[in-house]
Amino acid sequence: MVSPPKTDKQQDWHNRYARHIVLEGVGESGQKALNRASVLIVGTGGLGSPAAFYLTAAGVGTLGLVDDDDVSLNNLQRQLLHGTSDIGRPKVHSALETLNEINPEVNIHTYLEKVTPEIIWDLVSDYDLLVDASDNFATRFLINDVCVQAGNPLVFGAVLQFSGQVTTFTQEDDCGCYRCLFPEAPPPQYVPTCEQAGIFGVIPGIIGTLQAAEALKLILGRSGHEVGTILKNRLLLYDGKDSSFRTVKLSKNPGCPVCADPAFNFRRVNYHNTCALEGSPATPLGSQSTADPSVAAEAAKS
Amino acid sequence: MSVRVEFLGPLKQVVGGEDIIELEAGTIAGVIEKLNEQYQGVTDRLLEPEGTLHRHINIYINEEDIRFKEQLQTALSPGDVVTVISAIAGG
Repeated sequence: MVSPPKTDKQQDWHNRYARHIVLEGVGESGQKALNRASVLIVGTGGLGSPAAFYLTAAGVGTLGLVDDDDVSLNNLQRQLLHGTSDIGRPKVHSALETLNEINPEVNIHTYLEKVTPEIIWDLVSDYDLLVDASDNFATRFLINDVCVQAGNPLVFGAVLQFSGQVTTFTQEDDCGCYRCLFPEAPPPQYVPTCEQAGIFGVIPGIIGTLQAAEALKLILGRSGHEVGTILKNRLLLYDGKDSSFRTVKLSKNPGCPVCADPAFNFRRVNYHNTCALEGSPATPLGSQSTADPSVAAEAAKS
Repeated sequence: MSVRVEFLGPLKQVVGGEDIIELEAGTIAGVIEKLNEQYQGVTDRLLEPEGTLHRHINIYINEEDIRFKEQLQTALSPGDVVTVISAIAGG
């Protein structure tokens, strides 16, 4: 049987994604899975820029961008979505223009909103997975907690100075969450921000690109495509000074007051302070002999 | 027994920017004690006043998180690599 001739639109689709379509493990069906997928990126700065670039270029069907910040001159050393003429504009607006130019077929939703528990909770159900490209602990713990509660996979990335961290929380029963990795945010005097301590410009480029790779592989893997393993229960550490990658194990904490407690409710957590769960014990999580996880969990239950 | 200790990221300043420190210790608690003799303030940066690990600090022996082993009393074997990291939040 002779196939009907391809329309211009079909030819453009084959052309645009030719390198994916020919790639073993992706192919036409994988590309279609990407075209059907939706990803929410929280933050359009250093990490969000490369993540959004690659997800858009790869043809992810719907991309959401959350950020309430405006472009500043000191962003341009690393935040490649934005240009000099964008200074003073909302980042989500300049991001939209840049990404539309790369791939106008991607449906991009922008949210010029401060990240709050209710905003993230409202948005999370509209997207298949989230990419955490935020820049502070309160937002990171909030995104983690909401994703656990909603069951959305979360691709985590963070950077400071010459270093970066990446992992993927799938929300499967055997997968740990951010609170299994770091139970609480540090006091401000212990860990500086990028504004205080600096950031080597390419580091978020590397880490944000790895986040995009994780997101794409997660989408492909879940639609039955063989693209290897993701960073589930593994934390990838990048050290830009000695140009090395290390991987360490990320274990699910059986006493985690968030991902191990079906009754956890993010609305009971104070995200303005240290993201601590009310009544959480001072002893480290995972110390089952000394810490009763039910004590930590109690205050978080609705 | 001799082990190799590395602090990654911003924590590296705690040990004067050293990439790798080789020392003799039988447990993680022993490593911290030895480091504190050499670099002032290591204990405060890693441990709570009551002596448990800060909840934003992770220590790995090879690839294993000591929180899921015997915590600070986790035993070391010759040639182990101890990696110390902190939570970071920049984006």
